[in-house]
Amino acid sequence: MTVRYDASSITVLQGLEPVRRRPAMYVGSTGPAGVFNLVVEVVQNAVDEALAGHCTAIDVTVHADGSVEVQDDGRGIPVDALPDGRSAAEVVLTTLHAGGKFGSGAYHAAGGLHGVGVSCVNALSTWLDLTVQRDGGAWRARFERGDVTEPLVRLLAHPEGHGTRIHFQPDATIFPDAAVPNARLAAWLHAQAFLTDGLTIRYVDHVTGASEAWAYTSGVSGFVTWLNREREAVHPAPAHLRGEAAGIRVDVALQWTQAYAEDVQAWVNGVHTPQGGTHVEGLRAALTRAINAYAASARLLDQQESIAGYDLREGLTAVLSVRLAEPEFEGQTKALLTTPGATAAVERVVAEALSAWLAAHPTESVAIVGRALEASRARAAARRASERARYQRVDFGFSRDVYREQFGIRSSNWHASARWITDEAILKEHANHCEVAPDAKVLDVCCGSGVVGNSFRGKVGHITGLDLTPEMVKLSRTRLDEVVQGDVYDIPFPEASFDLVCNREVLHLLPSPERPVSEVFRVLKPGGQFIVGQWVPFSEVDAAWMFRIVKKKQPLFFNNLMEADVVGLLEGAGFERIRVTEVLQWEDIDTWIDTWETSVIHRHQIRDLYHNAPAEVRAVHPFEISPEGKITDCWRWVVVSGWKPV
Amino acid sequence: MPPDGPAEFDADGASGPLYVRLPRLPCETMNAPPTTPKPPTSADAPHAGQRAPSPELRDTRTHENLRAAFAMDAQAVRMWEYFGRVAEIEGFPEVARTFRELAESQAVDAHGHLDFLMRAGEPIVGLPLGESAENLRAAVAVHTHASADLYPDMARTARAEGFMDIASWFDTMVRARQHHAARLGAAATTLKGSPS
Repeated sequence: MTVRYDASSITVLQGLEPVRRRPAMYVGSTGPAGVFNLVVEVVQNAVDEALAGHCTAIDVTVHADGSVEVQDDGRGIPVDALPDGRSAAEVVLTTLHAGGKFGSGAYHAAGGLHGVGVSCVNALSTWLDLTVQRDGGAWRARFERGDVTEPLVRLLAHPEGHGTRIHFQPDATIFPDAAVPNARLAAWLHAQAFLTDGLTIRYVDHVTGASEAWAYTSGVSGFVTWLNREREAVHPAPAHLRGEAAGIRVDVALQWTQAYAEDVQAWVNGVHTPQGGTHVEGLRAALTRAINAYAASARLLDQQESIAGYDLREGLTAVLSVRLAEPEFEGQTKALLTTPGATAAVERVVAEALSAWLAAHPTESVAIVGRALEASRARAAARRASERARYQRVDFGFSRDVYREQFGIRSSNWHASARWITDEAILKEHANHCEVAPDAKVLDVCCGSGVVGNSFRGKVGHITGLDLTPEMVKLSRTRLDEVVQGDVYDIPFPEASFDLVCNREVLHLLPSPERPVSEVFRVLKPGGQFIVGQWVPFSEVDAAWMFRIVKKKQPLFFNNLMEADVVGLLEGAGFERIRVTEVLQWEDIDTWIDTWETSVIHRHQIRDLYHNAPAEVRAVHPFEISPEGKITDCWRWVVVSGWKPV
Repeated sequence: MPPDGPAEFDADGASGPLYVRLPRLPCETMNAPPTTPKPPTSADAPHAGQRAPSPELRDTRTHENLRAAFAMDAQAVRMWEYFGRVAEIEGFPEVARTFRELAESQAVDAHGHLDFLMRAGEPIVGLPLGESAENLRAAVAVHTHASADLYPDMARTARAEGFMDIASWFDTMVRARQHHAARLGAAATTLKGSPS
C-alpha cells in the first residue's frame, strides 16, 4: 500500500510544542548545560534591563528542590492586554519569538535570545511562577510545561517598586540530570557583575550552601585584577581601554603577568565566547600593531626587529567585552563570534587607545616590551633545547645538560608546576607497595624535591636521594636524610647498597630506560625491592593522542610507556614477583603546560587536542573542559614493584 | 617532470619531486595473501554502468600516478589544516583562512583521485574496493599489514638510527592499528543482511 504524501501528512506543531519535542535545538542540550542555559536566559533578560538603565539588582536563588528563582528590580514585564485580549506577559511566556528585543527601540545590544526567549524556559519547566510589579500594582500567573494554568491576575497588594520574579522548576522528564551546575552558574554570575557596572548580583544556593553578593564599578579592569589575583603582575594596574567604532562598543582591560600562558576572555553582549572569533582577531592585530609601533618609536628594538604577536601575548590576561546590535555567532552555543565588522572595529579602538596608554605610561610600557622580548628569547632557547633533545644518539643516551637546564629552571616553582608532584594518593600508593624492613636503606632515584622518598618516612631507616640537577639536590635535602648529585645511567653507588629503590615519572623521559632499570637492579641488595610510579595511557586507544600531548609539553619525552612496557622493563632487568596497582589523578592541564619548555604553539595545540579529542579517545580517557575553557585531565598512574631475586 | 621509464618507487627518492615513495603492491612486496583476490574488473566497480569502457588500470603507470596523486593531496589536506591552525595561533587569520580553504578544496581533489583509484583496488594492499563489505575487508588488510609489518619495521629502523622518540611513536602506531583492525573486523561481522 502506498502512503499518500499530501497536505494531510504535514504536521504543524502548535505553541511551545516544538520546544518540548526538540529541547536540545533550543537550549543546546538536555544535560546540565541545558539547565544552565535556562537560568542564563532568565538572568540575561534581567541583565539586559540593567544595561538599558532600568535595573540595579538581581537575586538568583537555587532552591533545595532544584527550582531556580530570579528576581530583578527592572521595569517589570508589561501586563497590559494585546489586541487579542491576552496579557503581554502571558504572550511573552507562551509564544516563541515574542518579546521586546525583536523590534528595535527597547534594547540596544541584548544578550538574551540565547535560546529563543523566556518562553523556552517556560516550555521546559514542570512549573513556572511569574510575579510582576509595576505601576503600583502586582500581578501573578502560573504555567505548567508551557501551558497557562492560572492566567495573569492582579493581586490585592499595592507594593512599592517594580520588577519581575520568575521561579521555575526545570522539567526532570526533559533534563534527566536536572541539577543546576552550581559552580558554573556562580562563575557566570560573577562575570556578569564585572561586565555590568553598578549592577548588584546576589546568589544564594541552598544546595551547596553558597551565598555571594557581587557589585563592581571597576568593570573589565576589576575582572582582570581578579583573574590575576594569584599571578605575579608585570605592571601594577591593568590598562583599561574603551571606545566605539562602527556601532560596536569596545571595552577591554589588559595586564601582563610572569605566567607563560595567555588568558584572554572575550564577551559579546555579556555572552562568553570561549573560542574567540572576529573580535579577538581585532584585539590581537591591535596589540601587535600598537606595541611594535611604540617599541620602535621608543627605540627599544633593533633596526628591522619586530616582536611576534604570540610573544607579545605570553603572560597576557585580557578581558574583552564588546556590545553590538545583532551579533552573528557560529553555532547554537555562541562559542565563536563571526560578525565580519568586529575585527576592524576592535582593532581600531584598541590600537588607538593602547597607543595613547603606552605613551602615557612609559614605565609600564618598557616593562611590557621587555617581557615580550624576554618571551621571544626564551622561545628561541626552548627551540634550541628541543632541537638538542632531538639529536640524541642511542650510544650516549641523553645530554645531561638539557635535563639539568630544564629541571634547574623548573625547580623554582616545582610543586606549583603540576598537581601530580604532590598528589597524596600517588605518594601513598608508593608507600603502600613498601614491604622492606623498618631499618631499610632507601635510594630515591631522580628524587626531584624528595617527596617520593619522603613518603616512606616511618617505614624505613635511612633515605638517600639522587638527582642530576643541583637545584633539585638542594630542594630535596630539606626532606631526605642525604642527597647526592649524580646520574641515573651510572648510579654512583656500589653493587648491593640498598634495600629499596624508588623512582617516579622519569623512565619515559629517557631514551634508553633499560639502562637505569638495570642500574637500579645492580645497586639493590638481593631480596631488595624496586618501586616505580609511572603515568601511562589508559589503553592503545588513547596512547597516540596522549603521546602527542606529552611530546608537545615536554620535548624530552622519549618513550610512550604503557603498563605492559613498564612491567616488561622490570622483568627484562631480572626483577620478579611484579605487582601493579593503579591510581587515577586529575591534573590541571593549564598549569601543567604553563612552563618554559612548552612553546606557545605547542600550548595551543595541546588545548586543541583536548577540544578535538577523537570519540574513541573520549570513550576511554576521561577529561573535562570547563565552560571557561579550563582543562582537567584524568591521568592513569601505575605503581609497579618487583624484587631482586635472592 | 615525470620519469621516462615505468614508474619506480623504490628509487633513492630522486625520481622527481612529484612522486611519493609508496609501499609496493602486495604482489611485489608481500608474500602472496592466502587467497589471492580476483583483480577487480570494471564490471565489479560501483556505478559501473555509468562509466564508459576503459582499459584495465591496475599496474599501469597511470595507476601509480593516481596513487602518488592521492597520497600527495590527502597529505596536503592534513598539512594545510595543521598550518592553518599555526597561522591562527601566530595571529595571521587571513593566512589561516587561505590554508583552511585550500584544505577544503584539496580534500575534494583527493576524493576525486580515489574515485578513479578504486577501480584498481586499495592503494596499499590492492584488495578490491567498492561496497562496504569490500571496503572493510581492505581496511582490515591494510591495518593488519601496517601493524604486523610496516610499523614494526619503521620502529626498528628508527631505533637503529637513534631516534628513540620516533621509534616509540611507531610502536604506539602498531598497537593503535591492531585495535583499529579489530574494530573494523567487528564492523564487518555486522554487515550481514541488507543495508537499512
